[in-house]
Amino acid sequence: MSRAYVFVVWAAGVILAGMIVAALLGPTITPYDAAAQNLLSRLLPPGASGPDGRHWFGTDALGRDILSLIIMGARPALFVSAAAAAIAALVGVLAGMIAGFRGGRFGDVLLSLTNIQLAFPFFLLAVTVVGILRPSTSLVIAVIALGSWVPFARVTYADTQQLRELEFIEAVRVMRGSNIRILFRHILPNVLPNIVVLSTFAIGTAIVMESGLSFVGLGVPSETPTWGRMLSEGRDYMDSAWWLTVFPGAAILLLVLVINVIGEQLRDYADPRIQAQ
Amino acid sequence: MIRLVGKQITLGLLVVLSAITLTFAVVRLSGDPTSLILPQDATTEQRDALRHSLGLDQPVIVQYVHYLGGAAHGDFGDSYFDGDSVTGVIMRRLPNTLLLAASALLLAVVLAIPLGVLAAVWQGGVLDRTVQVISVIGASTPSFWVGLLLLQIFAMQLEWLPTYGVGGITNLILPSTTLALYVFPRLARLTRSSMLDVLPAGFITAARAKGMPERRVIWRVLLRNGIVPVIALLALEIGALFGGAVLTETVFAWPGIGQLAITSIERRDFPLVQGVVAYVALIFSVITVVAEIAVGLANPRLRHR
Repeated sequence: MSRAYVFVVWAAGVILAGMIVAALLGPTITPYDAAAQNLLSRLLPPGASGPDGRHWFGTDALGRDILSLIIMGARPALFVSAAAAAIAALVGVLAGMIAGFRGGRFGDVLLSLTNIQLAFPFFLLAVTVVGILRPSTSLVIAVIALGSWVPFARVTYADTQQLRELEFIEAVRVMRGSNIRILFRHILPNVLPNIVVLSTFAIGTAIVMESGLSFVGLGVPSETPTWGRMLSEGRDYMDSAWWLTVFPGAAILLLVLVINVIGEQLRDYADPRIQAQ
Repeated sequence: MIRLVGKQITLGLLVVLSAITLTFAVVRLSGDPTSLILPQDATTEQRDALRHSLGLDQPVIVQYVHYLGGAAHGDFGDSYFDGDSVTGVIMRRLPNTLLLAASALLLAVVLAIPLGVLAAVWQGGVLDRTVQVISVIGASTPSFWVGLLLLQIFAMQLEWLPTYGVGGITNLILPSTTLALYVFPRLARLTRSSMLDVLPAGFITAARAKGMPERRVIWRVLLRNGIVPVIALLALEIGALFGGAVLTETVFAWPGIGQLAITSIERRDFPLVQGVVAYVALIFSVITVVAEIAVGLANPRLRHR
């Protein structure tokens, strides 16, 4: 691994940690009250000063400070994506382990289900379900989780099928270990590295998906706009105020990028075949 | 091969059926549609009359069977908003989406496959690393944001291209580039890894050993053998294109079925929304079957299965 690459991975870790801390601290570190509207400082370009001080990322049409809004926007982005990925991992791993362990018809049913789901433009379905039932935080999380469980199930299924044939599992069986014990004490720890890798990618995908839903007005309801909603609000001022569309999108890109870089790194650790190369 | 195609057709029918069932269930869960159609001050009699004419006074299962029966004939009812037939509205919009998706796919394929092949041939080289960096960044970028940036740069700052709507070929450039960039990273990556799988094969060495020019080895022997997984992925990517078209069409006010889905949701025009989902599922299933046949033709080993 080249030195430059090690640096990139470290930088990604530091940036991700910084964004998580910023999201947790939220209102205590935003330079301005994110929700505060100020008509005297409408649409200020980045770096310009309004009556209340300097705005490094400019202000929006209601005079809100963009930097403060972006810091607040990290909260729903991280919360929704982490929750959705957690649910997807739970469902996918359970389904994959059971189907992989029992095999036969269970496996066929699971694979057909995942095939049906993969064979459909999921974003259209997400928009439809959230749109018709009206957006709420739990619905958005549930729908994104529904769109993310497939890789977890498939990988766990394949891993479990391989593992159950191995001698150490047979040894547990000889010692009269129950199926539950085999699954959770012996198979789960062995599939876990892959699950961690998939989880990072699932979080990245979920952030992009949530921002897309927010962009069409179907994201999580929140007091200050999410990044996707900021982009949608900024659309109306695109010819005069570029910062409204550039900064929130850059925030999404940066967050998802560092998550994906870390995911790639974790994958190299988790998969010994890649390590050997 | 006939068996594989048959399996794909069954899967396709299941996909269409589940899409129709899911949207039907969600719409029934969302409450009473008469409040959407009738004005606020409508009387109970008016509501009952409408409910009766829409068949909503029947048991849900009867409504479901009725809806499915209509769907089988391409009848998805009428739009709540203007009373047009759902199929008619969708058919008017569909060509726009197909044009957008086809040009985006063409652009993505023309870019991603040669780059993916060259990245594999020159593994570890500058091009390879560039393609990898681009595909990681591309996979992390929301495509609608790329669309907004392109719009801002090329339509608003430089004023080279029109901003919104359909018209000449110039209107197509920005939306199709946006959508192509959405598909490009995965396509380039898969092409690269699929070529890397084929490169060590004996027939590549044999072709080189008998003195075949390297260019021919790469673009004939290697490409033809490594392309099969890429074709299979293309079918899935067309699904992703229809999903991505929802946002791309919204950004560029492109009057396709993706934008239709969003505006119908905003107007709570449910029959239209259900129709869009059903038609997309159908088109997509047809494409997957065609791709299955294409894979069979590209790979003679599968033909006899």
